[in-house]
Amino acid sequence: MNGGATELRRRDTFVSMTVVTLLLLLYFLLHPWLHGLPAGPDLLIGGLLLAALRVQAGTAAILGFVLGPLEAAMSLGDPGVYALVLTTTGYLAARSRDILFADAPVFVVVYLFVGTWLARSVLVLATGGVAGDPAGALLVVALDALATALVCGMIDALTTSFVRRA
Amino acid sequence: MPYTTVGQPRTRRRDLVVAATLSAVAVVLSAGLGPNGEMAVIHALRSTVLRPFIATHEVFEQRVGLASRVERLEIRADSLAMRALETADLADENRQLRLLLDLPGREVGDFFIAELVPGHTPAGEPSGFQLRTRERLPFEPPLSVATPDGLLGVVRTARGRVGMGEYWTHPDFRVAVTTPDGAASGIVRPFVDANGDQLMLLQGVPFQTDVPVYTELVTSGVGGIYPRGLAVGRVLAEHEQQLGWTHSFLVEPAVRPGQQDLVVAWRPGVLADSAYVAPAGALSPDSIGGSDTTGPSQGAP
Repeated sequence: MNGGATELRRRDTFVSMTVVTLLLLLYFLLHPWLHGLPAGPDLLIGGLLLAALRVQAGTAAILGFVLGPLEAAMSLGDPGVYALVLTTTGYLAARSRDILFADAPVFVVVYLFVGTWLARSVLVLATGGVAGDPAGALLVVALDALATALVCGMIDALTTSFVRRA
Repeated sequence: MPYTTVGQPRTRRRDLVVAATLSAVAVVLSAGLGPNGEMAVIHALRSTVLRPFIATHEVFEQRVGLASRVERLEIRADSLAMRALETADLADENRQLRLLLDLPGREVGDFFIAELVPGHTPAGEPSGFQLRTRERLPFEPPLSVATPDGLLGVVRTARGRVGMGEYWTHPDFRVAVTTPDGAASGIVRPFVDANGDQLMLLQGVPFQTDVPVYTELVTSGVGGIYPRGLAVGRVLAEHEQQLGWTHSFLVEPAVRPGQQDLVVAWRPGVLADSAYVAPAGALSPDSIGGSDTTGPSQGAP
């Protein structure tokens, strides 16, 4: 890899990690209101998936392991379950990017939708959220995943275009 | 787009080891902590790393919701004042009857006001909540939690003046109930009907006992966790489920988990059994009629 590409990658990683940090801060700041909406973007899983695009799989797993108990503490859930699901999500997301990616923005949106949908579905099943209305719960998860894919996909596209122009 | 590639086989192995180790730790956390351990982890995180966020939520909610909260509290205070007036005669009559029967003062436990913070789930309604109180004394679980409209849930674990509990929608929730006239009694548990509506199911009603539609169900006080007389719900219809010589009824809950922020928690008294007979001469009219400390301290539902 030549020096220009290395520099571009380093700048992209720095800017993206800053954006991911802001997304996570925003998520915890807006937690009660985001969860009060009928369906909305999951900035936590979206941020984790965006971070997993730029870091090694082990680092993504560590990030998931740290975020899991924090989310559990905010939602009053089981810290172990959240840590397990987000660790696995981070690791698998980072490992899957070589298989899925062709550097096209549409793939980022699909990756975000599928990643959020899978992670949220597993969380719903693990925390007993489908006990009342399984179909309704999974529909909400799909809408959340769509909103996450659109919002985080747009943020990723803006970040990338900013890095390329800078 | 300059995404990082997965890397060399050695890096891949290292990543796998890291992920597997963290997953194993997470499984151990989930399986080994238990409710009290989970409570300790959540409490530690909420009071350290997440404290700035939670403080921001509290400040925002206090400012934004102040007007509507004052209005709701005024309505609630008026309705409570009316109920207090209605029950004053009853309490006096009860004291006099107990005095005539040589029974001790009625020990109904201790009510206190607490703040309820609902949990969040990835989808659907939350089944857990956090309870906080400004009382000086820490509380001991289990504690029943209610609103003026009826029973809301139970606190299972506590740490100092913060507890974690479950709404009645939690699958493990059970409460002994009776009709106000005592004609029928049974156990109520959460139930989801074929349309996905969250209701309650009254079980264990003897086969020969009929419970008419719209009959109110209140807590029976059996077990000592819930005080007697809290509204639980109203009977909607008989359910097809029959266990042995009993039948079941669908129940419309009195209170649904939602926007409650201030609730009333009940700490059981030492003597909850009114059948206790005091030793002869242990009670004097002065001790019963004078400074009565056995009634509800504040905000009794």
